[in-house]
Amino acid sequence: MTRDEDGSDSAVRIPQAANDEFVQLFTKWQRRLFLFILAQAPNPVEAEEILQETNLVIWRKSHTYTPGTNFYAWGCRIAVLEVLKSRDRRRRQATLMSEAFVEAVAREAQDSVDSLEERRRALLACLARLAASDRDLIRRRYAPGETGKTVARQLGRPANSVYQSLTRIRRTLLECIKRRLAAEAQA
Amino acid sequence: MSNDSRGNGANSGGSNSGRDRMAELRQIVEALFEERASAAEIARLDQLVIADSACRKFYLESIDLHGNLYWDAAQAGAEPVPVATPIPERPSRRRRDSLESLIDAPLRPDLRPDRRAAASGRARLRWMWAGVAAVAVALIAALAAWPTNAVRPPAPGTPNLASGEQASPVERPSVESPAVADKHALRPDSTDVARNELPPATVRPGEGRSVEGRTTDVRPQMSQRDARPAVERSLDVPSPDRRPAASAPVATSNPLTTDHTDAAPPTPRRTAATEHLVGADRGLATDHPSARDLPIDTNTHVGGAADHADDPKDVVAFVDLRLKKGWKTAGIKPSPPASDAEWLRRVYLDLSGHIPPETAVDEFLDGAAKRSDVVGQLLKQPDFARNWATIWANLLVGRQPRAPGVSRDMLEKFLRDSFAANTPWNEVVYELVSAEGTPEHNPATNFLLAHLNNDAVPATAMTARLLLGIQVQCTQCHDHPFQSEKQGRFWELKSFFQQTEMTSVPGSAMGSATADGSAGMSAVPELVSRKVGGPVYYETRRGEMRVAYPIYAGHKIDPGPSVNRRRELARLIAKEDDRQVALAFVNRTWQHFFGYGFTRPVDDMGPHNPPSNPEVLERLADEFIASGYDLRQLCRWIVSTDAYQRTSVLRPENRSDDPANGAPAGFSRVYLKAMTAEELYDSLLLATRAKSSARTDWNDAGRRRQDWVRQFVMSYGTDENDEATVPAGSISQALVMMNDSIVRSALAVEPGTLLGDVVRARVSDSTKIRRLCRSALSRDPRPTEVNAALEQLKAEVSEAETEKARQLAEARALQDIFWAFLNANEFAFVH
Repeated sequence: MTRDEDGSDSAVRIPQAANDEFVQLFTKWQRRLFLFILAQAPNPVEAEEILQETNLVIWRKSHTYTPGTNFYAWGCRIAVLEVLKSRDRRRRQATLMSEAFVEAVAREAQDSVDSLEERRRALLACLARLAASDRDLIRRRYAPGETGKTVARQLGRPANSVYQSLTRIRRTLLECIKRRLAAEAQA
Repeated sequence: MSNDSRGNGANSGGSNSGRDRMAELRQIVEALFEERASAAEIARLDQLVIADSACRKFYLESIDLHGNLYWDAAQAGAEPVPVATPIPERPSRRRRDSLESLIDAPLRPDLRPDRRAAASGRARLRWMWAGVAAVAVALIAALAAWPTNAVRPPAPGTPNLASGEQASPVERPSVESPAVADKHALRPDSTDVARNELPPATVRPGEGRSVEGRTTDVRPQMSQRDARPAVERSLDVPSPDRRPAASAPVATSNPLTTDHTDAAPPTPRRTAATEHLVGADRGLATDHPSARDLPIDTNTHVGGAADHADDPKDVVAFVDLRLKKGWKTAGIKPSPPASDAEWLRRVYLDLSGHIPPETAVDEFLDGAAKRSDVVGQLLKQPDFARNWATIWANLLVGRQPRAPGVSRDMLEKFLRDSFAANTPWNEVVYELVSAEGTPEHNPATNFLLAHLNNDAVPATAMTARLLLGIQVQCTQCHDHPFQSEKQGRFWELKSFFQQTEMTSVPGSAMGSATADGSAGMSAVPELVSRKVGGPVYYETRRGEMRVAYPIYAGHKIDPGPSVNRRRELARLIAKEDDRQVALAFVNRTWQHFFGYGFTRPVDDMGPHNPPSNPEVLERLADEFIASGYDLRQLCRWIVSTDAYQRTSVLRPENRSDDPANGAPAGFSRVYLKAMTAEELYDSLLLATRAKSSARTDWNDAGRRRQDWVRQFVMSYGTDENDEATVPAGSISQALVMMNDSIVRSALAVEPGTLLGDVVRARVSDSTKIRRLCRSALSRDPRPTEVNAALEQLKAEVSEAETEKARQLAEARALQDIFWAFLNANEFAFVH
């Protein structure tokens, strides 16, 4: 008898034992999982999609998660598989990293998780210190759905000059973050 | 970055100076971020990152920067686009503003991590994952939040929903999974890459999307944060917009009612439930000052002299006492009484199959009607028969019968008529089991006709399982490993179906009535009994041939050809001295109300699977038989029990009473149930009054409901004709719900729809909000919800400069608020 009249005969089960802890962990680790996936599939839109697929699996398998263990590591294992699945789907596309790349990056990304929170905080501080016009450009560029190209059109600037500005600003931010982290490490 | 320099990087693959490599990498990464990287550059990136750990580190740091910027920007929300309304799009100022505030005050969130977490959770969920997992979070949070009610931190923000094409639950994880499509539909303005992946037709102009974007601010507070504050009715705004012609609470015009006129059900005998109760919880009742008609202290209830103290004559009192004993033994305390609002919604869903209409909520919450009055009204409603017909048609033939010529519609009508006329259940059973003829002449034949494949094995198994609560199908092939069931028992039962056959007869002029939509059917099935005799033969696992004669519960039937065995079986099981039909029916009916039956599975009763409350089950079955197999009476008893008056919320004192975790059900509360697809559909229509703007006849409406419901059904295609629906509350179902056209039309602000009326009503904003909440969730909004909604309204309207713009903005805000209510987890559950 495959059927259970108790109403639990579902294909996609909502884990009944799901508790707040799981929900919180899930929410807490969304950003890191996204970054983890993004490292392996560097297009944010694609990465989002993979994250979405990953999330579905995470819910489906939530009963296999042992509370108290490393949620991120557990989630990463699922994410890695989803990244590979997505690769298979996109095989025909030209811009595809090798499997070795995905593996190497996944390993490293998982290890570097500890500093992520600091990095994020540093980023916020660094954003605040940008020149207003630079901050504006970054804001436009990362507004949902925008790209360097669309921003250039909005601003009536040549695309190349916008790319150059973005490159400069991102570099500034990266260096600022690095400095702040170094300073924090010393303090 | 020019093409030259990029080409440069790709070609200088041999460079081994670390600085050169880094510069090269930087260029490639930049190109990657702007989606301009060539295949050669990707290959080079590949190489560098794999080979060089410094490169790997740089790459990851860049990715973190890129990803964080992307992720944080998402926080500001998506471009709002109105849903299915003529309301024009408004400028996306808000998005800019909130991103501004994020960037300009970057340190604040850091100083207040809790706030940041909440904000990022909420906004993240809002548009990052377009709905799918988001809905899951919402549902999980709901599941977690209701039953346990303990002090808990705010649930993480939950976004609303997705839009998109029919999400088929069955094919979820496939490549063209709806999740992907939804997402794009949700964000038609995402990058070119995204756009290229989908045919333009599937990129829909963001229905659902705006709602999603705009309501999240309101929603988390509404449906999640304070899942259950102590004071339920703290906001008691007088409501000047009470409908002028409010009729009796339940006798209101209900677009869902059938065209069937109900035969007057027998007048119920008044139970003593109201004089009976569990005294220990009276203190708790102060949480629910309005809870009316609650049973009162039980200790005053003493039966007649003939009664033992613990054996009250009244069946409800008996059930209450037994359950109470069970709680004591288990060392648990029952959940406190449900608020009137919670109770009203539940009793409507359980008896009528849909949430209470707004007028009924108004009447009950503002009036003085007793709970027992409501029950009496509901039992008289045509929707009662309709609801139970749906339930049993689903059980008997499934939502989507696969056998040719089987008409679920006609079976459902047969059941509806039977329930409406209060036909004793054993007579219905007799009809179902003994039926002969074609579906059009005898709709009861549809049950067996649906299961005559595979040499009537499913017919045997279904009859046993559904009508008798016995699972014999496994003993078809072998003796049951754990119970005394012998293989022979299955074959003895099957022997009753030995004469049963399906033949085809030429379709009559009425053929179209039986063809479930498939026109031009030339032959219709006919259920017949051939005049053959003798035993059935079967093989044991050792390969021995055995015979089985028709024997049921010790009654041997003449195996001769002139005896109609099926009719004999029907007669045997419908007799009052055979209690199996009653036991099975009581068990299943109890499960309908409480979420769990006395046994699990509910249809596997027997010595190997003892019931959790045997005395209650036995007593109810006896009384059910004595009442003349009266479904209404049984329902009345069950909803009158003390246990049914309690909230579905799990308390620390009865945390162990959690059948979801495998504990035997103690019924110290009413367990949370996901709505069925039918309940969800009817409730949505009722809450939004979507249908009243496009009203059609009953048959058409019924068919549309079925079409909608079928999206959730999958047939297993097993020998046993199993069928599963993905329960409401699952991700897939939620997706379908959110994407469906009825939801879109539900949010239209045309006159006649609820939203249209509320928008146009000349009443205070908080009254409008309350009306929306009562319509969707059958309760008053909590103060936090009112505040959040008012803020939302204010924020919308403040941007408007002209009066017309103000009206539009207000409509839009109300639409968002209503959507938030409808989309709350609370909506899709029976609690």
